[in-house]
Amino acid sequence: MIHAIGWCDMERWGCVGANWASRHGTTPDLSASAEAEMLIGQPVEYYQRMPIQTRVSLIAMSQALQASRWREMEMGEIGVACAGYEGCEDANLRYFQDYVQAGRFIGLGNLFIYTLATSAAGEAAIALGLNGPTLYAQSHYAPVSALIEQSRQMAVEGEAQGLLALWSDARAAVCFAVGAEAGDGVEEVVEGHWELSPGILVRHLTAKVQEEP
Amino acid sequence: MKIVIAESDVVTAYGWGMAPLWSGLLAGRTAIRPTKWFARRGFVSDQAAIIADLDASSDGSRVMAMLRRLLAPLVGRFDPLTPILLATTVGEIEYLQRAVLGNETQLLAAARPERLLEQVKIFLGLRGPGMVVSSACTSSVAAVALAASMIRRSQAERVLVVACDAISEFVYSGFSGLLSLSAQPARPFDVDRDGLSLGEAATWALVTDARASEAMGCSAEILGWGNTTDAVHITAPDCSAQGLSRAIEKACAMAKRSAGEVVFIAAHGTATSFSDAMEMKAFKDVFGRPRPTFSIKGGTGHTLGAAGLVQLLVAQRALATGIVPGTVGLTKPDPLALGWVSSKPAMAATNSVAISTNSGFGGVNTAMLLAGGARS
Repeated sequence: MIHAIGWCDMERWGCVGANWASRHGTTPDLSASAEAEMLIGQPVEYYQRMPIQTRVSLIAMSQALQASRWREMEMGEIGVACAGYEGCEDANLRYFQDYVQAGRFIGLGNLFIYTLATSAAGEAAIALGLNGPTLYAQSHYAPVSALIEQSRQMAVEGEAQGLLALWSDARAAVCFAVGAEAGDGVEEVVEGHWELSPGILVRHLTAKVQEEP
Repeated sequence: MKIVIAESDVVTAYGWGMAPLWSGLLAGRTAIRPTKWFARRGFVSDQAAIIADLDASSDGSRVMAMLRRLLAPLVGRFDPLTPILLATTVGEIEYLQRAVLGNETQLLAAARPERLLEQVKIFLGLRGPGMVVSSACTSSVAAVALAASMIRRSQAERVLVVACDAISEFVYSGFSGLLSLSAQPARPFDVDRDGLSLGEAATWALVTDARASEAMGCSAEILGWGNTTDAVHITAPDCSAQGLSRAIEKACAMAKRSAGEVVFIAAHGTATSFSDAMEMKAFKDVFGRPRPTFSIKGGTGHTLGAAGLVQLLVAQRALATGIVPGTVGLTKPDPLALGWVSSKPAMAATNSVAISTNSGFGGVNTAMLLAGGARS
């Protein structure tokens, strides 16, 4: 079911995948597009206007995508399902604080466009050319497990051939490449720590990969 | 397995229930009015479709005030383990507004959609699975699709879908900043359209296996759906319309129906220049020959996360009655839409097949195919 995992926060990034040598490293200066684009593996239009949540999400998604090898397999439609306790709260605050500080006269469109729960995943999907469904699906209980199961079911239904299940907050993101078929044990690296916050899960995953010989 | 929308209800600026919405649309009357809510702001419009008799003072937020009244007849009716999907774009955003304006950061957590879901579950006495579904203006149809998928895979016998979004300064200022608002009531597919009007609505639908719904009186069958992303631009629609075209084709393929079998189209029709043009291109590319096509947003305004389900329920009523509403606000059709849209209602065979489409920020698109049944 889980074919690969990618992650990124302000300090570390990494990925694991079936038949793929795991990688990890120190997160480059996220304000510098050239360094981020090296990690993402392609130029990214509008990178400079993206909030941090979008940047870490984009890097985590690109890592999961690379480690899944879905591109090499010429997989068809790939979708994105995302969740996170904070949703887009950080972006909402930035937009509304700016609007209030400007005298409640005009809202800044470039900030408003990030005030949807799907904004970070959606813009990352655009950058990566993913044209399957994009949705935010935050379950009441066990949200990460529910997100992954929801993604698997969408793949089983044929809504997309694979889905990137993105668990993120304003500073960290973990992305699971989920397909309809059984995985190859990639999920073992999570070791039952499914419901950790994105930042703590990033640290756990990095530590697990560093343990590898 | 047949999956149906067995029961539903709605509140829009037309009033409480389907009856005022349906009669307003058929009469070509808009519920969009000038509002003084934002009179001291510098917005490009003062138009909005606001629910007039809504007292949010005791409920804390307009969406919760809508939902308490709309959902009251459902309290205690369902098995407590019935799954619920809540579709919204901003939920109780008033709490975030208050947090910023009053410097009360403790209110921030109250603005999270998960909290709204929790409140709705408590109100309805539900203790089963719950999920917030958000996908811009396609949120509620995406939720109906998830519900149908859960039933098809026997995860549940029935799923309650609730959708809501309210007018707020947060959203109004944002759309004003994007110059997306019309200074007059929206005119979808009109040659002189110049933007959307915001509206507010709440709605619910009980999605069930038809076998379970027979006792309750069956209505529209969900035949299939398609969800796609343009992967082109965060706000602008893809001029090639490939994303929406794919969504329609996927819906038809899942339903095992040809595009030719679709008798009418309930379109997203926001009345923004590019979005309406993109939709018409998709319809022409997929369907070829014109068929009755309408948008409800000239009447209800754009109700964001609730828009898709409100539109779906109107399509359901059109299937049941054989009357396809005209497009409120339409005076002179855009040449692109000529022969497809009309300000007047059209007749269609009852028990036929219709499609409802929505698109939103992030380039998301949904299409859902419905087969009509008269309500027993």
